[in-house]
Amino acid sequence: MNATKAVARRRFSLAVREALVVLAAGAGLGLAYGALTDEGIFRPAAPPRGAAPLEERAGAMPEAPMMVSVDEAQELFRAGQALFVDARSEFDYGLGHIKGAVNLPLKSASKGASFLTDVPRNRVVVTYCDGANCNSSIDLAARLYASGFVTVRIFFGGWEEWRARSLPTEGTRP
Amino acid sequence: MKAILANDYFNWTLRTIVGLVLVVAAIDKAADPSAFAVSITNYKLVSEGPALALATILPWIELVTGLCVLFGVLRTGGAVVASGLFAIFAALMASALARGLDISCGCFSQDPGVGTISGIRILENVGLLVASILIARSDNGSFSVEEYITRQASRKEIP
Repeated sequence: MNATKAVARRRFSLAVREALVVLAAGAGLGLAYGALTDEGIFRPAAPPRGAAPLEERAGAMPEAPMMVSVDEAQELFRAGQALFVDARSEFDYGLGHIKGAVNLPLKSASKGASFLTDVPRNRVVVTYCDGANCNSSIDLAARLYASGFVTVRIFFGGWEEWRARSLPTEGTRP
Repeated sequence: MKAILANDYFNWTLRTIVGLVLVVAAIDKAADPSAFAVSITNYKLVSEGPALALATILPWIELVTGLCVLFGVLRTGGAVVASGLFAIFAALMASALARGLDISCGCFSQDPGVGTISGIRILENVGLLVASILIARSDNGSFSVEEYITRQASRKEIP
């Protein structure tokens, strides 16, 4: 009985040691790859907010679309730099949308096409949809990014959070 | 159960499935940590900073774990880590579904339109979790590098 327990203990101890080696090797490789390619946590930090307008920051190197909070979306709106793009249907957009937003329903934004051709590609675009229950803002952001926009932000809180804060809207039933 | 686990081919099949799933899932994430960080933040549990840190190391842990399980190097430890990973993934997806999030799971591709979280995805992860636990509990190291090295060493000992 004691021998069985001893074997089980040895086995457990070996499994834990091996697991730690696997975790350390994976983490080490990840950090090394990130450091070598300037990716992940080693990605160069964005300039502090307010240091320069976002449009000036949008250079030749595109950044992958990133999420912004309602506070950051509000800040972008107030600065007047960003173009808000509503990914919802034309009907929902007509009822109410973020003031100044343009409508580009995800269904009409087919993959691989070029969108908003009259908008400069270095302009900051912020996509949104209903809120946490929809995914189309993320999908639309990916398509805008693929069509050449270098600074794409996703306002995931969307219409629900914007309206909850009583921020500027327009439409027939804003 | 012990008899099934003792079967060389069953054991090897389990290792191949779990190992390949982990390796394939890791490639897209490891190649683009920033996109993977977006997938992590979509779960609305961590902010951008921790998501980026996770996105930097998690894919590589998955990759190393998958290779260990696949080739049978540090097989038991690899299977323990794999069990932990699948348990965490299943719990995260269940939590996202419970909160009504309609998001991509970020499992194999960082394309937002691919692989929306669902009950099926959770079941897949639970299945892989069970397979990983079976591998961790098994003494059978057939067709593994560990077994090959042990066999070579014992051959050398025989004059």
